[in-house]
Amino acid sequence: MREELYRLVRSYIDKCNRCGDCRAVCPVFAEEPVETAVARGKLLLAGRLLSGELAPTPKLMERLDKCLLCQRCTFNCAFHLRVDRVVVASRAAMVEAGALPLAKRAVFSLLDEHSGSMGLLCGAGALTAGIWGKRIPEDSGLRLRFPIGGPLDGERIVPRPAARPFRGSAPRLFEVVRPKGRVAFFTGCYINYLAPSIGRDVVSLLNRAGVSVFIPNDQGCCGTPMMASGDFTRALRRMRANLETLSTPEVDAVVVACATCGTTLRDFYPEMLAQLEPDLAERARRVAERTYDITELLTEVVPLPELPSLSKRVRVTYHDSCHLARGLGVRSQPRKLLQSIEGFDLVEMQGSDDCCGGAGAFGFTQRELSVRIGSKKIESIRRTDARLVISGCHGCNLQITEGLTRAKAHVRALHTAQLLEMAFRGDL
Amino acid sequence: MAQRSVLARELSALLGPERVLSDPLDLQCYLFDSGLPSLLRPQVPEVVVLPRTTEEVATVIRYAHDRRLPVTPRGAASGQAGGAVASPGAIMIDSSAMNRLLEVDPMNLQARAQAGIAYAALNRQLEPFDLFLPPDPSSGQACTLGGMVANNSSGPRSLKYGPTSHYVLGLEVVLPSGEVIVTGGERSRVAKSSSGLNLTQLFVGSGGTLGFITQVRLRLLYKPAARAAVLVAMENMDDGWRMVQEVWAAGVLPTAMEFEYPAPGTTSAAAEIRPAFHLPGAELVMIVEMEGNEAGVRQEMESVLEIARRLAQRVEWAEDAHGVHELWEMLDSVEGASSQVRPGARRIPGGEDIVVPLDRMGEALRRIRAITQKHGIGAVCFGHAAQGNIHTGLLIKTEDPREVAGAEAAMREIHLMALEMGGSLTGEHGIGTSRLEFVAAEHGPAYKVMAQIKRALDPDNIMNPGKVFSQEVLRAES
Repeated sequence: MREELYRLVRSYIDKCNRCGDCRAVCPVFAEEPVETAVARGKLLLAGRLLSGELAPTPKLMERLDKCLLCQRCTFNCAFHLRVDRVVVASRAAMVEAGALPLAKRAVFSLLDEHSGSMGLLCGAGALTAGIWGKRIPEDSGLRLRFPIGGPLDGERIVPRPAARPFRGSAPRLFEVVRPKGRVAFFTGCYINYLAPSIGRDVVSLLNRAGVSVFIPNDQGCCGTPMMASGDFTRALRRMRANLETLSTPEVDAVVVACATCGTTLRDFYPEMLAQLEPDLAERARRVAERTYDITELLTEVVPLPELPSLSKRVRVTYHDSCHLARGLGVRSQPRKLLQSIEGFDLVEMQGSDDCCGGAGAFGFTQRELSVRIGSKKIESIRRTDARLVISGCHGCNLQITEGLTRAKAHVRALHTAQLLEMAFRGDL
Repeated sequence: MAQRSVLARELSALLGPERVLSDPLDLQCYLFDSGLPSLLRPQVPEVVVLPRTTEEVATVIRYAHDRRLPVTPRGAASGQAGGAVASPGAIMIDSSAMNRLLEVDPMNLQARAQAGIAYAALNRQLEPFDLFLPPDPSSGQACTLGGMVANNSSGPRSLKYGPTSHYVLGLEVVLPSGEVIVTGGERSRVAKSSSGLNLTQLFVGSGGTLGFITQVRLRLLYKPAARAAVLVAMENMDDGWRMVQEVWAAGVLPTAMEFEYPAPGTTSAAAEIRPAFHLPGAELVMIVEMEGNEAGVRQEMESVLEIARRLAQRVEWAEDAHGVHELWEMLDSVEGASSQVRPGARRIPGGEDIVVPLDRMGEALRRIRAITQKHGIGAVCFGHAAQGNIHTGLLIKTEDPREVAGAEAAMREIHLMALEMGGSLTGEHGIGTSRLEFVAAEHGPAYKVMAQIKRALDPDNIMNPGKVFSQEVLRAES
């Protein structure tokens, strides 16, 4: 496996000319100005690990863990080197050597081989939320009640788990009269287990656009949490299962409302994971070609025929999540949607595409660093005087909500689909 | 030589353990800069320290001075000549954590900053004042102010604005003894002074061999209101040099006059990236940029366009920000495509910063191509047309020892050629280690005077040994 991973990413490692431009944009380096933090150093360490020159030690893992996979270095690099791919490949080599922590293994196994238990677990979590969590003022989550230390300290904000997952036990179809098309909605874990209401918003918006929505029940986690942590065995299994589901000829497109799922389907499946499973390459390519973020679909394919106008003006700002802006190249579409609704005042924040520091597991394993990176984003949001901060990434919204709560800022983080539906319903 | 563990323990006691790196895993990320010599002969520092303040730098240097340990200053290590690569056994002082803009004085057009601030970050922070630091090294995103001063760096726009030295009014320097001095007047806020020896300019371009620069007092300019650019492609590159002369003669002082002398076939490869700028058969591509007030820029552009239309086969121009940016991108795409014309080859800077007299530019470029062909490798040349400064990127397969040997031989011949032509070894990158063997030939007896100055300030040769000054010249002057 290690040799295979090396073959997959070697060209990125070899092409690095060590110019150091990555130092200018790396959020981790801005906090910890050491060479192991930045792409130039990571490529060197990863290359030596993958070529067998370096042993897979915990110290090495510690350094490789300090990457948000935000792709800022890639987009700033003259050669557009995919440092994120190199880092996940090197983490995979570490995991192959037995470096997957128990906690991650437990979570990934729940999302993969025991996903059937997730619904029950969430239900139990929802029932007992009053015991372990405390509602936060903005009503967008729970603050953990007990300071149990480590990555789950009492400052963490977690969404209230769904009493019932969004996806049912059978496939569901939300049809419209004379549909312009039919799409499969790839919900992702966040919507399914933690925020079914956003799922309902997505369906409603698509129906408003004249699109029938099919929700396959046998879809699952996209695999990014596993892949980002180097658990390629499970990530590949997730890819295989999801490609099987999403290759159905009964839909015209696949829609996502999660920037991370979108990047996985459109980029990591065809360009990385499927390279390790060549029999899936063609299928991955075909699914990638017809995968859209909801804001892309609603601006470029099936525009909303009618748009609401707000009864009062609402000042909003938009955060470009790494996976949406750099992963999928979606920047203008959500802004266009916001600007097309009379009443929204969209104020750009400084560094709208700076990483919020969340980055999935990074926010837990590198807690203190994640908070420091996030605090800059919070400051940028506060300077806009906006009431709402919008993004297309649930993970970012969670991180931002936590930062805003800590900063006692009365700003609420919402997903774009949530905001649009609120505008339609007159809830703003 | 002190043991690494002892150094790490003692320096940790002085600075705090989080400011000292001694794990081999960390140190191997400090082996290189971005040039060929460090790729071939990486040098591991004994420890890396990350001070935040002048006092912390002084503490480390006093420690090194007392034990006669070598010290290598490091900024972003974006250089190509080995100047920031560790001297054997060195304590590396990395300025990355000294990255604050300390003061802006708009009325006096000045700022003071720590040496570790990156050039681009500095200019970003100056934006609210509408001020900027003009010398624009191509590595500006990463390179640090201290590195710019130590190498007297510059970039394309130095044609009009001049190199870093023109903007350094004063320095705070930790001397090899650990003593801290301020040059240019301890409390000075003036833009000019002829008081005493010009110590500020002594440290500019000294390559970290005379002391560690901790702070810089800078002269700034207001940002220009207008910018325009003309991009030309020539089938015969001699027309390019003619154009340079005619632009001078027309009384135009452009901000930049940059050229690309690509490997054959590069322009076709570039066309795949940017089809709109297809340049079949172009031997030279050049950009001329003007900055200033709107009327002046318009007038200068018209003069340049008139010359360009007579001499060039293809002329593109723009006077809006986006259009000018696009023209620079087109020029860059030619450079970027250069590594594609030799599949499997990497572009490595080598013999990469020579300067030749303007009237011998064409000859120099043809000779560089002949030299690289002779050694079985490729090359792309680009640089500052109106300053005679040629950057050579060698296109080599680094895993092939014959090509690596060919690259080293080519580097040597390119440097010797520059000296033979009455040129200089380096226009803006500094001597470092890669040009050390030729410095004496360039400067003659003046090199001995430089060595006497070095000896006076650093009798134990602890500051960046092996850079700028050869062992021979220091021995002769001891």
